[in-house]
Amino acid sequence: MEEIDKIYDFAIIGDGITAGIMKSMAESTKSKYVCFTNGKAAHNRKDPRSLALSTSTIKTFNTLGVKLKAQKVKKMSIYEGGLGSIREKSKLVFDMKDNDGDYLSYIVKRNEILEILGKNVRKGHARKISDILSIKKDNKKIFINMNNGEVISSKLLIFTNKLENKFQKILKLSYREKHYDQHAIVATLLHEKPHKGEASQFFIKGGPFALLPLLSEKKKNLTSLIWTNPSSTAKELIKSPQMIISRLNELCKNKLGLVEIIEGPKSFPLIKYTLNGNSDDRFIFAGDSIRSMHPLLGQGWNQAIRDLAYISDAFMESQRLATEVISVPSFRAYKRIRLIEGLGMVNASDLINNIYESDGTLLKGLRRNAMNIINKVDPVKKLLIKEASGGILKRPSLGKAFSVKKKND
Amino acid sequence: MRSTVDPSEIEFFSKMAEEWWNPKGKFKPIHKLNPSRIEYIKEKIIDHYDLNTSSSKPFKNLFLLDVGCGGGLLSEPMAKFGAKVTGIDAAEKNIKIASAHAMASGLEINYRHSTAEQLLKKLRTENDIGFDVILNMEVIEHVSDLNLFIESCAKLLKKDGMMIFSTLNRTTISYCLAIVGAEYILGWLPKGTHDWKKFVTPSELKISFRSNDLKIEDLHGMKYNPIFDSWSLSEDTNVNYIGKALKINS
Repeated sequence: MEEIDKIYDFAIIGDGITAGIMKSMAESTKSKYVCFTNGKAAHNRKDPRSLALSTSTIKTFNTLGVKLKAQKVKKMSIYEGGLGSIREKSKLVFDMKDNDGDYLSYIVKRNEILEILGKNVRKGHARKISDILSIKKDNKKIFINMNNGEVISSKLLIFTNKLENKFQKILKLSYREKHYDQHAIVATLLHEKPHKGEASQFFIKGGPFALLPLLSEKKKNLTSLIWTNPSSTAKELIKSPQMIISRLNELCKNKLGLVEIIEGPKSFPLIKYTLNGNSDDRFIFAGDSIRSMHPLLGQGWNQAIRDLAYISDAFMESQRLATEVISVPSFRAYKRIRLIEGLGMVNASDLINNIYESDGTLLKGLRRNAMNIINKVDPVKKLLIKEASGGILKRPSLGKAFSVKKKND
Repeated sequence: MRSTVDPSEIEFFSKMAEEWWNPKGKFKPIHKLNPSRIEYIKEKIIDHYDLNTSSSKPFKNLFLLDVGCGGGLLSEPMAKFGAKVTGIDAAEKNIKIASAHAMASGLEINYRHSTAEQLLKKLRTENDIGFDVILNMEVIEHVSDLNLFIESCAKLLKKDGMMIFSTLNRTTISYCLAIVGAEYILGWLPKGTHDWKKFVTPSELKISFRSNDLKIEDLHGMKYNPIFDSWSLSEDTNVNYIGKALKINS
């Protein structure tokens, strides 16, 4: 017994929301786990980012017992042009009837998720990533060798952040990257007119401009802004908040009335990457460790949660069959199908960004006609919304593992 | 004493015994097959004995015999479900590997180096009452005397006890897939793992079971899904099949 007591069910390397959910999952399945973090708080009060969560992501949070205060999105409009004095060239509008009466998505501030997840997990498990010297494995477990000579054994090792160089070298993995030469400016806007639960994305010259409705605070109308710009333009704008405000007022006046920034602005470089290479089954990669994508489809976080839903299915199946996680069918599905699904979403985001960046007459005509046609074909709209809401595939069962009561003999 | 053991089979499996718990080793196909076998076994036992599905130890108080237990890939989950497990194998090396793994996992399993007929003789001497469940998984196609083997297993079962079995059908397609495909083309199993002539058709098995007071109550095929890299139940029994039989009163 002494030997097995020293082996963790899994070790988590990373910070942020994906790691936080993984910890919650560990708590609810009463698994033995250990965390390695960078030692910095993932919760940065000044981070104004918000996340558009799909229906299936919200369900996963609910099964975890994480109740989020979210603004429900009743209508989602995608325009080419149509902002400020820019002429509207085409549009595609989704409403709740396209999603069988369900809300189209849920907007939550990133910091709020981190705060709630922080309350859900016990403290005192974390070790420092920088203290890891090397990682080895045999057929049964992984050995994490620490700088102080300590060896931590775990059946699985889960990465949730982009792998640091030392881990890429240890695991002989690398990233295939594409830098977009675009930055996303993010901010929380206070505005005059109510947003009525409508999320909008405008494709304008320079990049997509997204407005995500937020829950009102003290009867104030709030919206989250994600504004993609060429990197040089974004850097100039960030230097001068006054310039951003006046530009925003030019663009949003018709939609939101007078606008002011109450959180941010901050800017983030946009990059697409995917993890390249093969690794042992005992290494699991989720969220940012495996991919990053252009934010225009709002799928980055949802894909990470979908990774975790697959992993939770595998945990549930492993408990039900009293067998190792890496042997169960859900885990094999995660290793095979999930990676392909995720890659598909990365490439779809990239393709759409390329299409909208293009100034070519042919592509312009194609995208405008495609948007206008899809807008009139309900079955296609329903299919697109279904995929954005969590996928049309049967798997995963989205965290049902957590609703199973465990070990109450 | 007559024996069901084929010495060449024992030698063959003894050589690979160290590999039992390596999911990527020589028993990789068994590791992949295991979840669907466990699912089937669990469902059938729970149904038959009307056990509590919400319990993490639903097999509490059941005496279960795993015949040809190998390294214990089925014995261990059964013990985790609460069964009092006896695992027997004709290869002594398998029993050593299985015992060491169970000890490291903190599980109590009664592993014995024995054949079914030897165990029967021993239990009779000890006036033991037998088992509620016998697992005969991927063993039938390796024994040298099918009737003696089934007879011994049947006698080890309590009245109304259940035997769960899985094996390979003797068809042209099973020769192509289980031997040519799995052993020679895909290399899933070491060459020589199976002897097609020892494969048993469901009707042959039915006859042997019937003459030993066992009635087959359920029979399914098993199919491999290469996309999900996993096995599931099917209606096609041409290659692998799995089933349950009950001991009827003679």
